Amino acid sequence: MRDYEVLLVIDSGFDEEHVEPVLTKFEELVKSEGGEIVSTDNWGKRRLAYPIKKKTYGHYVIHNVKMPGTAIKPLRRVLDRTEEMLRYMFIYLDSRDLKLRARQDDINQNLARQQAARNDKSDDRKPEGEQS
Amino acid sequence: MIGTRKRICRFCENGIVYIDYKDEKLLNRFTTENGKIIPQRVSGTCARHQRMLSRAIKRARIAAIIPFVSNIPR
Repeated sequence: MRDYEVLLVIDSGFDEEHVEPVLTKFEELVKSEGGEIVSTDNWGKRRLAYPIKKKTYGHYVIHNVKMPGTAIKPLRRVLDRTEEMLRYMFIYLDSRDLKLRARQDDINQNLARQQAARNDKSDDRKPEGEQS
Repeated sequence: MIGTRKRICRFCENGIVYIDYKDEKLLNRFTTENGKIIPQRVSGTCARHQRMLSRAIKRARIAAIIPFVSNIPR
């Protein structure tokens, strides 16, 4: 079992109805190959930086998946045949990537906390200044 | 002399250990208006972070998050 980040860019067409079946299909495929989707980040409709298949908008979904490396080939075969798929990308995350990502998340959280603390402090100071 | 001033890597300075291809705002800061990657001799990025950055930019280009080229003269 390996950790992958899978990016799917789906042609949403005029409405978002087409996206859901593609996602469920992908999930079933991953399961049938012996993997599982750990977490999902749904960005929603987004403007593409350049047109793909003459489309200017795409629906972005990022999955964190645990699956055996042998699953990629059959998945590719199906995704290539799926008309709604504008782009897909499998990114293999090795132990180093995972470690660095986790550390970066910690750092970002700490920064956010510091920022919040700073905002609280500046809020505390204001009323004091007004009193004097 | 101008130009010989020692530049500090912006990523090292801010303690960044991983550059994610999904961070569009960050990647935009390290590409020119035409979408080219800014060389490390200009941006001052260290070798390690430049490697990470270029990989992230290339991934983001494939994902159509940032353009390969923009401002193409017509």
